Amino acid sequence: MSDLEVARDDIALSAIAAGNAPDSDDPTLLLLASYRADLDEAAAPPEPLRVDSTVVPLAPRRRRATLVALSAAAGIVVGGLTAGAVAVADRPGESLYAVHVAVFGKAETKTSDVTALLDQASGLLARGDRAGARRLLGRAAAAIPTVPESDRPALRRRLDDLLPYAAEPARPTPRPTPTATRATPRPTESEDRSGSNSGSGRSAEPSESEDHSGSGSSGSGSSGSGSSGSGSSGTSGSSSGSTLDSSGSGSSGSGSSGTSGSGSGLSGSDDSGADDH
Amino acid sequence: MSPLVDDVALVLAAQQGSDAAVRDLLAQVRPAVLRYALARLGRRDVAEDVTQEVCLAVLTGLSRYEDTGRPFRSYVFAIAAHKVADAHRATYRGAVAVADVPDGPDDSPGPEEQVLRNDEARAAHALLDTLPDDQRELLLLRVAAGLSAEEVGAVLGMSPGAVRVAQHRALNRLRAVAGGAR
Repeated sequence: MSDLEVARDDIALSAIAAGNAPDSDDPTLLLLASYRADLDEAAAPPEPLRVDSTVVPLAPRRRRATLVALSAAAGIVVGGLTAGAVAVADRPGESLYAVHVAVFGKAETKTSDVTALLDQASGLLARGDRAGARRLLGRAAAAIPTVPESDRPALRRRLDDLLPYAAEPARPTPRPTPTATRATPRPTESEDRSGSNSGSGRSAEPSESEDHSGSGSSGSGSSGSGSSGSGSSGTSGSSSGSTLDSSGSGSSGSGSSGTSGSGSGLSGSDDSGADDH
Repeated sequence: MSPLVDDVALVLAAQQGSDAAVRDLLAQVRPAVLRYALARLGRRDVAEDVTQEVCLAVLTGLSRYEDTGRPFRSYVFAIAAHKVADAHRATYRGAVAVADVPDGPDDSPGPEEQVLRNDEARAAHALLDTLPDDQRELLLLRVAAGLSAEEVGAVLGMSPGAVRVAQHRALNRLRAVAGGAR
């Protein structure tokens, strides 16, 4: 082992560490560079979809059409069994979902659709379009209750991840009581809950701002001054609170009210947040 | 590439309560932590959860973080290494959440395939798995996390020189394994 070899490897690894190709034809180093490139791709904020764009527009629609036919048949064949599900037929997405589960025992997979929304929101955030990202996140929040239950926690978490970035920057001073009436009790509430673990009880029924009280607490605890932490997380907390509201109440009319609900909640945070960008 | 923001100035601004600085800091930290978590855990869902946890922990500890010559990214990845180890134990010691088990046949790609898209990367992943834990960790901190030898040294409690020697040994080991497989 010579010093030269050690130095050469270090230079090559430094190139890879920086995301570049090493100036080397050593197959092992090139393999590691390829590995890193793949990880870069996997970790990039605007993630390339697993659902590729040629499939997305067609497949779900076809599946949905099949589902309509199937659900009609199901209503006849297993009418007794699915009566409960059919009774909520005024909410198409959910009734189909319920029928599908009743008939096939397997959920309709719409998770990829929500993932696509979140991916798009990531992309918009990467380009600095927060308002656009908030709209997509609102739609994602409204759609989450319609995906298979086992997928919801991960989607909610991902949504939670994105929300702080979508929030308009708040002033680094404690906010006055937000003008939006619904937001008034929230600051104290999130303080009460600030000790709660952000990971707890997420899937069942997301209560207002539960997750973001988690991030809120860490935010305010984090940055010494506390003002910024609570300021920023207050913003994201109020926005997420409303979006989670919509997803929580999603079982009743998640589509429309969810979206508008989150819209108003988010615009509430717009009002109070100062735009210092 | 990888234009490093001035960590010290950014951390200071974040400590003083600049929301923009906090966001910039997270935007900088997050992809690197996610790469590392993906490489260590091989599962996107778990890796994203861990990344979120790391980001929160980084923010929580920000006021206590003093720039004592330890690079900021070393502080971040000291946290990340612990969180990943916790998640690894929880995930692979039979504690997989029941909700993760699909109800029916799942034709989506497996977790590893979701994370790694090309064969070379999968080969690299498998090759790295042949290393002893400490060598693998060192290389992942370099390759996946993107740390410098100095930063890796601060995470692992080694001098930069010792890191350079150890990473060279690890690479030679990989070369030997890869050569033997050829």
